[in-house]
Amino acid sequence: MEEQQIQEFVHRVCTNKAVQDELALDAEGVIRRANYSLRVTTILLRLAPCLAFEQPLTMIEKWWHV
Amino acid sequence: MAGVMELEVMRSLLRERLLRYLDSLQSALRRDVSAVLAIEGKLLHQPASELDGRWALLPFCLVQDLLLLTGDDSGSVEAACGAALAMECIGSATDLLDDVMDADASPPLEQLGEARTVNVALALISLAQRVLLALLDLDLPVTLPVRLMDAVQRTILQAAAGQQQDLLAEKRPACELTREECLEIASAKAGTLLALACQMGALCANLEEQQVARYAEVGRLLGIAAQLDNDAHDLYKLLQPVTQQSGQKSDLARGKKTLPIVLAARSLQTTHALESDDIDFRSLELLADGKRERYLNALREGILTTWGIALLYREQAREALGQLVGKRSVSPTLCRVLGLNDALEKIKDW
Repeated sequence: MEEQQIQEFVHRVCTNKAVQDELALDAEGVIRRANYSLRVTTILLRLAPCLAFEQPLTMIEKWWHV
Repeated sequence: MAGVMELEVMRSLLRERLLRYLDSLQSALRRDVSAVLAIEGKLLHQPASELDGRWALLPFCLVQDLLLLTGDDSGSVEAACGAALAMECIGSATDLLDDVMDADASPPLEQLGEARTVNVALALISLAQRVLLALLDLDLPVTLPVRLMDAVQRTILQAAAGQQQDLLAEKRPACELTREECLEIASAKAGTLLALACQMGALCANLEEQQVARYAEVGRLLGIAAQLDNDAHDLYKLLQPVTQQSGQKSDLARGKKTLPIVLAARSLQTTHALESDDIDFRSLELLADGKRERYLNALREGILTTWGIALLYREQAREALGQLVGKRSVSPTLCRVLGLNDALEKIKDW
């Protein structure tokens, strides 16, 4: 379920310029209004700079680069 | 025992034990096995860096951390050395076999060629079993080496099954695969290996079966997170300007169906009503501008979703570990080795 929520949110932002612009202005508001679990909210807030401003990904797990 | 050994002390101890086992190999084979174990990331790499010997360090650190609860037990430390060296051999062997199957231009494959690489992988798997059998000579419960070997055998079969699924998926259109199938493959491959590392550590610390299974689950979740993160970043590098790309063959070019690629295909299918046979990421540079942009946007979406799901699994691993240890804190060293001492929690304060 949480995987699906992340997938749907990212899809919505990536395919709708208006949502992307809104995210750029108020990421926290947009994400919190979606009323996801704290865990999903935290993750989407971390993705927000990449989603809204196309900032580069950071390597979250350098240690276990399998 | 006064606290947990630092990582470099652990590496030195394990390195010394590993070299003793390598001395028993025939000289030409020993040269190739030593060369593989000395590449970056492996236990014999010099000068040693932060990431070296991680397969060995995980079970060893876990035993050290758990022994803080129960007090000093030199028998468990010996068992931990055995588990650690076996894990280093198994992890290194699977890395080599992956390189051969993916036709990756990795340093060992370039240095040794395919045949010698496969031979070294076989030797490492056998060496892992020799290391575990040697535990029978120590003053340890006789069931421990048997349980460790059983765990290793099961893992190798599970990982092989995952690799089989992965290889067969290369022949299928990306749109046919589901997110769940991709996660199953990640679980069977990287998930089972990290689960094994945690399981072996928990077995050496003489935990009850249920606790062993819970530590294995922490490893499995971390393994999935690492695999997804790896897949997302590998594909992300492909979207960078050509000058920033490495010469290595990409997952796209190989036709591998990693999660970001599958998600990208499904996004193209639903957003632009494309037929599954029409979606082919292997020749992006040959596409017309408009179509190329749609494909790149879909790949970007797949990458970001995969990274989000990787963060999710990592957070699940952190929570599972928290539930296991309760109010006790996990040693900083173990946190570093597990890679669970970072920033996700800090964002909760935004």
